[in-house]
Amino acid sequence: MRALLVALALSTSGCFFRLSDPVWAFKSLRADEPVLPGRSLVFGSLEVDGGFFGVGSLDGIWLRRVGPGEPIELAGATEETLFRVFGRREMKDGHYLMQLPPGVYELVLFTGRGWGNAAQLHVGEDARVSSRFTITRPGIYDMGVLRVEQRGTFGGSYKMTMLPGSSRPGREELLRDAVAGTGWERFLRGSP
Amino acid sequence: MLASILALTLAATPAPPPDPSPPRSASVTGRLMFREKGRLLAPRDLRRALHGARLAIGLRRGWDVLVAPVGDDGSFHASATAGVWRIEWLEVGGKSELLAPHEVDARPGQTTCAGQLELAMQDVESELGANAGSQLAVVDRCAGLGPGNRQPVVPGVARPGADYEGAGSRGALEMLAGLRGGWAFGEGENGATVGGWRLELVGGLSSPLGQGRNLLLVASFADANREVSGVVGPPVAATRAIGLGGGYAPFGWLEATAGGEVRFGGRSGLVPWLALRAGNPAFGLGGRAAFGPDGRELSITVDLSPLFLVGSLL
Repeated sequence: MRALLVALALSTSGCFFRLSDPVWAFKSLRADEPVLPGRSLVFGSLEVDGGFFGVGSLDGIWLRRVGPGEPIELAGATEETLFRVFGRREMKDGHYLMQLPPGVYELVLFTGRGWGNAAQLHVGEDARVSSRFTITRPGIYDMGVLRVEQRGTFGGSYKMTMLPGSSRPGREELLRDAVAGTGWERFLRGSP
Repeated sequence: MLASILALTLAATPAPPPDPSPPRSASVTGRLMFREKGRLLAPRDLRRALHGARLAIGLRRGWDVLVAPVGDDGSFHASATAGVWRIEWLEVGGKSELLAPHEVDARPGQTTCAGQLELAMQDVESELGANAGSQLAVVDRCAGLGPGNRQPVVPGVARPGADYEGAGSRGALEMLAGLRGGWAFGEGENGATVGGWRLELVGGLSSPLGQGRNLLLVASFADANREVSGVVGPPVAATRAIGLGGGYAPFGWLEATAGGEVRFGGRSGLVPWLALRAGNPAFGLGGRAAFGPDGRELSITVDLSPLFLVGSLL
C-alpha cells in the first residue's frame, strides 16, 4: 500500500491544487500507529537553501532499501500522498516521519518546489552510498537535520550536510508530540 | 563524508507486548562461521581482522529482540520465549551487518539448533559491517552445540524468511489503482471514424503498477461509436465490448498489451486487439489496433485513473 502511494505521489507531485489544502495546513506532524510489529519510526528534518533560482522548499524524501538482498522499491515521506486529508500528517515544515522494516537504506531523491513548479533532486551515486544507514532493532531513529544547499547561484547541483538533531531547538518536543498516544511512545520513554 | 554525519540515535527499548498466556521458555543455539575466498573461518581465526569487535546475532520476534553473543568458536545461544524468531542482523562492535532473514522455530522446553550460519564475503576485514553484499547460507550442522544438558537440543535449521512481514499482500486501493477510464479516437479501414470510452482494470504480477519488467493482465469494458461520413450506419453503429488480455511492461512508463474482445450491441464477434501505452499509473497516452469484422481500426487513447484523480484532490 505504502509503495503504491509513493509511486502515485511521485508521478504527479505538485501537479494539482488540492481541495484539502486549508485543512492540511492546520494538521500537526503526527505519527501513524505502527503498521506491523518490528517496524521502526524514523524521524528527521530537511532544510533547503536553493538560492534565488533553485528549489525553495522540500516536501518529500525518498529512500531505497538496498539490503539485505536485492534493492527494492522506494520508501519515504511526502506531503503529496493520495487522500491525505483522511490520514495523519507525516511531514510538515521539513520534519518527517516514516516507518521502516529492518534493512540498509540510502537516500535517492528529494521532491520539492521552486518558483511554483514541482522539482526533483536526485542524489548522486557517491552521496547515495555515503548516506547509507541501517535499521535493526525496533525503535525510534533520529536522523538529525539534513541541509540541502545549492552550489552557486545558477547551478543545478546541490550539496548535502547532516547536522545533529540537537542543533535545532524544539525538535525533541516536536517528536514527543508527534508520537504521543501512539504505540511509538514507549520507545521514547526508554530513550537516553 | 555524509556517512559519518548521518549518525543514528538509537532510542530503542523494546517493550514486550501484552501476552495473556504465560511465556513458555525455550532457547536457540547455533554457530556463526565466515566464508572468505572458499575458506571457512571461525571468529577466533579473524581476531586481527575484527579488531576486537564484539560479535552478536540479532533475532527478532515481532517487537521482541534477542541479542545472542557469539563466542570465539562461533557458537551462540540465547534464551527465548517459544515461537518463530527471525535472525536479522549481526552486530559487529558498533556496526551492524544486515542478514537475509532466516526463521527458526524455538520450541517450548527445548533448545532449538538454528544450524551453522555461514556468512560469505570476499574480504571479511573490509566488508563486515559495511553491508556490501554478504551472502548468508545455513547448513544443518549442530554437533557440539547447546548450553549443556539442561534442555535437549533439537535440530530446527533456520529457513529463509519472508523479505519482511507484510510484503506480498495487496489492499483494495492498490487494486483500484489499476482501474482506468479512457477515451479512444481513430479510424477504421473502411473510412469510418471510431470513438468511444473504455474502462480498464489492469493488474500486474508485481505490485504496484508503474514498475518495469512486469507481467500484466487487462480486463476491459468499452462502448464505441463507429460512423461512416458522419452518418451512423447500422449495423455497425454502436458496439459494446468486453475484453481480456495480457501484456508486459518492459519499463515503468511503457505497457504493451494484447488480447481479444467480444463485441455486442452492433456487429458482434470476437475481435483481437493490441495496444501500447506510455505514462504512469495516474494517466497515459497510447495507441490501439483492433481487427474487427469491418477491418482494421487504429485509435489514439488517453486514460486516467479515477482513484488518482480523486485522491490527489483530497
